[in-house]
Amino acid sequence: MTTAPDQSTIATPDQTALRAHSLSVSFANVRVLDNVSLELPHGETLVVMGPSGGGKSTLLRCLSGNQPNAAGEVRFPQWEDSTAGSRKSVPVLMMDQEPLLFEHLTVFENLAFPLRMRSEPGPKLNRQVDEMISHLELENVRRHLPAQLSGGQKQRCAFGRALLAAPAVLLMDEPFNALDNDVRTRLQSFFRKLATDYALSTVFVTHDLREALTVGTTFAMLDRGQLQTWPDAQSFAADPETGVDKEVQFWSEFHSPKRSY
Amino acid sequence: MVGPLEKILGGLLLAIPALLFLRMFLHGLQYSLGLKGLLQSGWTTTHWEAVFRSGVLLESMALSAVTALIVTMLSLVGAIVLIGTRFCYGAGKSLEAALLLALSTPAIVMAMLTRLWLEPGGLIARMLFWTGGISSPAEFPVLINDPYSLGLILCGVFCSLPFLALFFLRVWEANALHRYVSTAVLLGASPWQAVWRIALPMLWNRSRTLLVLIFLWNFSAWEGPLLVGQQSPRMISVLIADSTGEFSLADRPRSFTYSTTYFVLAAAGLAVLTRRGRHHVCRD
Amino acid sequence: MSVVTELHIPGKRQKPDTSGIVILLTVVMLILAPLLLLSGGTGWTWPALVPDRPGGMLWSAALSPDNELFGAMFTSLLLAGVTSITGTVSGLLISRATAAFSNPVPRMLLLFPWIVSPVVAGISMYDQLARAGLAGQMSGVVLAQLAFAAPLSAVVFQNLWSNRTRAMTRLVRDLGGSTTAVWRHVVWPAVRRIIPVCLLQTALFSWLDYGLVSTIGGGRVETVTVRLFALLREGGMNQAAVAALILMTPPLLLAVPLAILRLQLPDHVAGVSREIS
Repeated sequence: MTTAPDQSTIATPDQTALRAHSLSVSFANVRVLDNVSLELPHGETLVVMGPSGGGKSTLLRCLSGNQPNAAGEVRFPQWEDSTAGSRKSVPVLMMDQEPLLFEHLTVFENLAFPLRMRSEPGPKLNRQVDEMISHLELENVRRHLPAQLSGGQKQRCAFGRALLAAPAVLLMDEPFNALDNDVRTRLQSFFRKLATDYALSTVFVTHDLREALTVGTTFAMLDRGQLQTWPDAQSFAADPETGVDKEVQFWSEFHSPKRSY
Repeated sequence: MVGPLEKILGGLLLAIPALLFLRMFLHGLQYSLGLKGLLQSGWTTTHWEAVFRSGVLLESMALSAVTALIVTMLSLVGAIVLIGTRFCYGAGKSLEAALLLALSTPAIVMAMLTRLWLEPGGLIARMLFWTGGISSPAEFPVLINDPYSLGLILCGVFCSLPFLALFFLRVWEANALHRYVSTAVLLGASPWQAVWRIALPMLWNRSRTLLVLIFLWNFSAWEGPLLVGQQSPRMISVLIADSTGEFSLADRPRSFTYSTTYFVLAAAGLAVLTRRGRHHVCRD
Repeated sequence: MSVVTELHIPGKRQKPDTSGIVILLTVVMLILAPLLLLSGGTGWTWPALVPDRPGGMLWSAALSPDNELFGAMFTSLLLAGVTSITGTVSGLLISRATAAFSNPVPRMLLLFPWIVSPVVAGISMYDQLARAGLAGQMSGVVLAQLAFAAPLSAVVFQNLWSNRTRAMTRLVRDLGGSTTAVWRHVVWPAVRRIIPVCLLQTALFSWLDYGLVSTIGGGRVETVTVRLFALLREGGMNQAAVAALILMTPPLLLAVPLAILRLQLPDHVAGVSREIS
């Protein structure tokens, strides 16, 4: 069942980063997405959760325009209003587990790439990249090639590059999945901070509840082609269907002195 | 991992070609130093001095190296252009079919076709005759067995380019390079910028060893130079084969001097190839 | 579906593979068309574009048992068969042995035949083989070709001996297995798909070889390549075209199904990028 968006989340047109309407995709008679609609206000992070094979990645591919045989409409109202005639930013950028850093470019050059493509003047480019390197805590590896970086450093660099591209919407498909727990936790907090600082509009797919609650500001669940949404963490946690209360209960029982195992 | 019997058997089988090549090299070296041969009288460096004084071998090596370099570079440019048509103009699977067809043409047939098309009495000359461009074969420019090795270079490019282009296409697929190119486009690059700044450097990183191999193959080429190459100086394989075919025992040391020099160069080429291959593995 | 952007290369709107078809037709015109044209008759005097006397006489002559080209085909097939089988088996054993050495030098030496000219090698080997009574004999040619084919196939098999194979071998031995068990449960499953590739590769090497067979064979072992060269020297372009097409047949027989297979694959499997507009 698709929940009609909560009235409080309906943004005035110029504040909506992403609007998708009636998205439908079928594979071999299976309806992966069934008339899904969603809106993403500017500066929000919509977390999309759901079971494996539920269509989360398909949804992201639809939003990025990369899904063959999809029906529906996707628009980027804020980007369309603000960039008429200019190429100062791209409408959408997708990130997944593979950082896709350019192997022959250093960290500095990878970050600088979108700025060079926009023909940013040299001093401004250097300043922006240096600032980002500082935010990303990659000062010690600025001249390193991607092959010399750790997994976490690669993802930070890829994230920083995406930020410098200034997309209207960032799509993230379980980007921290391949990393170990410590690195993952750090990157989640890192993402949250930069998303707030840069007012990023993001659709973030994950199957990890803790990650969802750390990075998300609005929430959705995709199951059997249908999308259900919640406007904030409290309403998401309060709904028994999301599984948050079961998780809380598990950890309470785990720490209970009366537990038998 | 490998049992003792396997080691012995494998080692023996490796020894056969290894010993054959080693004996082949030593035989040539001894012959060139006067230590073997019916007309020889013991250690001497006169054959080596004569060969390098005459300049024939050096000219041949220079010609072989320059021709191989030109063929390799042209094949690289051609392969890049084909990749460009693939991804900027949508040339799809038909391109791969074309490359497979070209690849299945052996060097000797490619050389034959080069003659067929480019010699004064060839197909292009005949087409020009019927369109009024020329009135006799003598008016057609010399493109075969010519002093600039034009026909030979073309033949070499047609042999090497399909191999390189198919390699690029396979590397592109295996490494999902389209994802990197797509990312570059999403980051604001135009399609040509994405191919030039991202795809080509990545392909270059992965193809340097193959380019060395293509150079070495063209350096050692025989069928093409024999059929369409220039007569003087000759490519090194042709020089060695021709000098051996001359029916004079006194000239045998000279041809073995040529072949020994060639084997030393080939060993140097192997050293470069394996060093390049190890570098590439380390980078990954 | 209306989207503002796309993830595969935008560029121009994708046309239905016109440039690829143009390239394919060009290659067919440059390679196959002249050979088919010339082989379809006898004589080719200036300035004719087609043979003077069209007809299939050359083909029926080539395929008749008393024709030299027919005999050459069988010699080539025999050489290819023997070289491919012995080369593949030797290559497998050699690759196993070299994998056991920690020193990379033996593995590097396997690459030597890849870069050395067969004709120069043949010339240099001739004296040794003549002394052994093998020059001018098919056995001498087989031995010379094996010196190339075995390392060729060894390089192909080398990639199979990975850490995983080593771990599996250790496991079989730890479980009490003998060398036979290792071959049955580790080596054979790893190599069985590569063996046909190797057989074809070494067979093609032998089939297309001219350098070794012309030097070691000394004119007495006549293969299709030797015959082709002889016809080119004699100026018999029509017969040479027949010989060239016969020479190309095995590689084409491999390439054409591969090409058709690629043409039939869906685009995303074949790796062709698409646009969404």
